Amino acid sequence: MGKYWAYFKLSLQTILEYRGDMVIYTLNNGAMPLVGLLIWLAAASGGAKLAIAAPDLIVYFLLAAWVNIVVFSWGSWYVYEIIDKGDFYKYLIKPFSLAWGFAAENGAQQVLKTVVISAVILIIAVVLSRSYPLHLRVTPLSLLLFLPSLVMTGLIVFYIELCLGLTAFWVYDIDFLTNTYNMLNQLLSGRLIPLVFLPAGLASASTFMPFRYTLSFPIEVLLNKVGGYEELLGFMIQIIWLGATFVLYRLLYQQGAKNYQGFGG
Amino acid sequence: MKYYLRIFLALINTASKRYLEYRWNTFGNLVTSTLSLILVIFFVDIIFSQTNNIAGWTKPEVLFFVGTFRVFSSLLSFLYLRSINFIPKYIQRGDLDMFLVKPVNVQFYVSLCFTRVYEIINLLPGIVLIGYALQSLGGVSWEGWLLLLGGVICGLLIFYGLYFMCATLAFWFVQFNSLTSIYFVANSFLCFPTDVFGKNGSLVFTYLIPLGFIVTVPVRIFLAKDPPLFLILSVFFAALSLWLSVKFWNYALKHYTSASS
Amino acid sequence: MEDPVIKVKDLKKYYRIHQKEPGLAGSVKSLFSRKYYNVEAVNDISFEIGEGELVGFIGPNGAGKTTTLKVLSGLLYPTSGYVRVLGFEPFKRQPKFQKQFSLVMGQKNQLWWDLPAWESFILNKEIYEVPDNQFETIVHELSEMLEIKDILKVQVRKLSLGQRMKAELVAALLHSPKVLFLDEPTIGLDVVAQKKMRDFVKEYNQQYKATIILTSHYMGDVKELCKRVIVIDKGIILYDGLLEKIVEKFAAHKVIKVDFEKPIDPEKLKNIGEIKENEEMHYLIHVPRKEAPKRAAKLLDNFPVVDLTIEEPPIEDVIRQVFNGGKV
Repeated sequence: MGKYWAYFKLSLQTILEYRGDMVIYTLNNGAMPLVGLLIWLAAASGGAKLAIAAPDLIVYFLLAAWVNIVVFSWGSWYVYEIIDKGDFYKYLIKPFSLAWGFAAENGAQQVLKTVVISAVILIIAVVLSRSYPLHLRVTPLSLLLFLPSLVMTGLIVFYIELCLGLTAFWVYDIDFLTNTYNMLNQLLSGRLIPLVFLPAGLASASTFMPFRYTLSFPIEVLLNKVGGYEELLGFMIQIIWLGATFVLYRLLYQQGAKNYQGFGG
Repeated sequence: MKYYLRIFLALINTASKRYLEYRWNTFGNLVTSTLSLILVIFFVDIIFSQTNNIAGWTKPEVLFFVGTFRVFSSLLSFLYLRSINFIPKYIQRGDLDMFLVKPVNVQFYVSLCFTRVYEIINLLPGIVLIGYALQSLGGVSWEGWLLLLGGVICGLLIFYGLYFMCATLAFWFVQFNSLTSIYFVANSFLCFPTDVFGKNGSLVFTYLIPLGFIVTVPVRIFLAKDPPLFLILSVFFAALSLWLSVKFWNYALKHYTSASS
Repeated sequence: MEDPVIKVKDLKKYYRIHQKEPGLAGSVKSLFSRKYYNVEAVNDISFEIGEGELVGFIGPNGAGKTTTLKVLSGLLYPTSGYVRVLGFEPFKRQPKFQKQFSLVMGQKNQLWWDLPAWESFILNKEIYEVPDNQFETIVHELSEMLEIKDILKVQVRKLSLGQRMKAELVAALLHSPKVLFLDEPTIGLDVVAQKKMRDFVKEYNQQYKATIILTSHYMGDVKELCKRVIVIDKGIILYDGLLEKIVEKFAAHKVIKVDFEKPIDPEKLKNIGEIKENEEMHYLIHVPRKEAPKRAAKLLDNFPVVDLTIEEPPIEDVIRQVFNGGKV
């Protein structure tokens, strides 16, 4: 375990060196929810009565930006580079797990980002609360349930990213897959559109698809937007998706490693 | 001058040879871009199921904007996106030297050496969407189209200047890996009319950081929301952006040749 | 020298770099304060090179060879000094100047790696405005000389290093430059490829009368190609002249190679000179230069000698000693 802790510290160092890059990546993660907020605010001010009022839209999207940044993972790119450059063999011969190593790197970045972005979003919220009556409708229970959900959300994103990257064993260019995934994710995860705004059919379908569990679900739990039976169902589905993405990751990894070793040379 | 036209044509010629190798990639790209356009239309549908106008834009107007933005994006990606994305890598690896010894203007060459010839195909979905949106918008004169085209060209130049200046920063930050992320951020803010940013926001993003002039204003002129005279401002910003990028690049080169080994 | 092609006087090139302390603490510290220090890459060098000369720049890594070449190519702005190539100030990077010289760096490519070399040639043709028929003739000639006619339409990334370097040379020479800078051109090449490269450079210099500067840390390159060498170390010129004279100037000793009839007690050879090597009855003895004939005579008189030769020390050794400071 000590080697991963050392790697974690090394990653922190690297991040400080690349601090300019980090700022821009974080901005990129926060851009989608921000644009979503602006669009829906504009829609609200057009006189229409939305299911979510303006102040609540702001609260939702600030939380969406926060969660989006905190759970972010670039595993697909990371793994793709390793496989494409032919460096994968290193993980077969060295006692250093690819997933754990990347988790240390990813974790280090997320820790730093979370600290910084929490302060930034807090400031934005304070500034905006002068013009809008912002309310954070949380209860101690919802806060308690939010944390495990958030952790699971992060893990689901982590494993999905790894799976996407691992397809590089079979596909020459993973852009098609990652782009398709990202597009569906934007539409159905709540990053751009709060799920209540989706048309009925799509909204109920989104309950079962993994995208909701990469962003929207923990926020719904926190804001008490789901209760009782629905919340229980949501947690069960999130656990199922966590299991599914983990199993898929293991399958792809083992199969890919087997094929890789088969080639040699 | 003719010299630069010849080089540009030679670069396009070379680039096409490059992409003939990757035919599957081209097809996959068309599928992805059509899919993403469909999803954006879907998104617009969802918005307009809740309201009937957004910052003063009606649904067909927004669809027209999206189509024009798509055409703009494809042209950008075709002409200079990939080339500029390589600039930080050249600087990092010291490959810029090989460009600097040649008698061709380095900024010109480095901005256009990786044209993505297949992006021309991606113009199609955008044009189809424009055609569809036009049905609900009524007749337009050929002058309107000319103004739109002029506006989009100015938009391409404005974006070029701004993006190229971001790439130039790589001279000072030797490890500069986030240039493409800057593009994605900019893209997020450009894919909807800047009116969405609210009154103050759209002023900032139109006149201070001229994002608004890239796509929003040309479309507004076309839709008669702004007078055609605004095109003069477009041209002004385009010239300014280009001029600044040249000045900054030359300054950066001077710094690079003085400070490195 | 009347009207030298390359003229450099009192050239200085300094630059600053900053150093970060290792570890996490060091990274945080460098956010707030940075320590810079000066590197004197080139410190007051002067030389002149005439038309058609093939000059070698030799020196260890970090000597200032590449820096000097970069200044001559216009890639670096000199800190101070006078530099003229073909009458131009290189750092002004005027197209008229750039069309007349070429730079080949062993570790950097100008060929697009994902295209056939031919495509890069065509681009260069347009950039250097080479007329069509001249282009065809030169590329034909050069690719014949380098034996790469059949790989011109193969993607560069599929070529071996040797083939790639040959194609790089064609790309660099198709505009018939008057001046050619070669920076470590044989680095990474196998022995056969190195020989081919050297033969080509020699032939090119003789046939086209181009002025060539070659930097290398392989003595083989320099021995074969350059009559004149400029030895650089730590940014200063230690020697500028004929290669053969270096040995005379810097080597204080000569080497006596001797074979004896039967085994000899090495102790007895102590007053002949310093024994550097011995194998059975074969000895290598270093003797002071001026004493060489006398010591050789002494050997012949007092010992059962089968064979004896007096030789110059190998140039590599001499140069190495020069870099280590002072005479051998």
